[in-house]
Amino acid sequence: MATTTGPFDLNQAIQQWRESLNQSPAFRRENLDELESHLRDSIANLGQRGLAADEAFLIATRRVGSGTALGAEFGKINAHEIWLNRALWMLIGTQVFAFMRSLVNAITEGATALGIKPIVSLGNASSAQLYIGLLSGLVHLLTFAAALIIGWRLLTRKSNGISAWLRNMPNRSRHSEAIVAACLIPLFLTTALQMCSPLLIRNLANASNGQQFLVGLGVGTAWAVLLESALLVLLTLLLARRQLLAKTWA
Amino acid sequence: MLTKELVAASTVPLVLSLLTGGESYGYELIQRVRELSGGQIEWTEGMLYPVLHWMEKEDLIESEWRESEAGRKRKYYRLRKEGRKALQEEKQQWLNVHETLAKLWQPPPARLT
Repeated sequence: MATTTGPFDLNQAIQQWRESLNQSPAFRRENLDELESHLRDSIANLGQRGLAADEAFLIATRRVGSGTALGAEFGKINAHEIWLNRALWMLIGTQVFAFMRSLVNAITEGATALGIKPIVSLGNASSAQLYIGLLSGLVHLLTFAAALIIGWRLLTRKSNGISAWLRNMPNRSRHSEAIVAACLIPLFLTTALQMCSPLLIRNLANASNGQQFLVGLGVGTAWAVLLESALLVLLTLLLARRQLLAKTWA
Repeated sequence: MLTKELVAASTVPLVLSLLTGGESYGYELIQRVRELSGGQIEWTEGMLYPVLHWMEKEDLIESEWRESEAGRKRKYYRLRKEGRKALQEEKQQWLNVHETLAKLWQPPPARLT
């Protein structure tokens, strides 16, 4: 507990108590409002019995219970919130990872194309391959930025058919798991496709129109990857907005 | 003092019964149940509020944020139609248990000869 030299400030003490509880994802903003209202009733009651504000505060917070004990109980009814919170952090993680990978690709291949010797040798890749690599890295970054901007605009724009629908989607609590799952399907599909591609390449290399098929497959995968990153960015923004609203604002 | 199991089983019927007397809020519910039970039933905040929220999700009760006389925001809970129905069922079950136990614990009536 912080030592205060001045007179005891009840509101400040309550604010600090709230903030310490707010660290746990088990509480939504409304839960904390209700607990605060309870705490204030309890303090007022103790005050009527002649206790000083700081004494009443200490006893009342002690009675309400520790953050861990409260969090465990509230976690049972807010399990959905905790689950979404984890999903959000995982999504942010994958976004940051994908972004960094594209950035590194774009930089290294751009540097190689410009004739700067790379630290890690790329073997005897032709300049055409390097340019394609650079291009794909840049396209990836551009998609990422575009999805971020479009998603942000969609979510912050004043009510409009699509944006209102998007904003309300994760609030229908039973739907949000389905939404997360639906957005993860393209992720699994593209990953599966990429994992299978060496196998396909070996089997198709000798076929008559194998070359054409491979090009088609490559373009298809590229589109799927772009669509997937755009979807994931939108999903991350959607979840982040929802979790922030549940935690902070009215 | 009630055992943990009995507290868990009796909270919903107690809350439903307390709310038949009109709307109330968490702090008051805890105080009233303490008074009525002569201190035998001590609800904790960590137990009661999640139960209230669960009951609200199940449509047994509804809630509303309003200003109290003191000018502070407070969340009031009110009974819903489904809650009244659930209370009738609970009441029947608790009375069954009570009557059975009462019969068993009564001294056997003197036999008329």
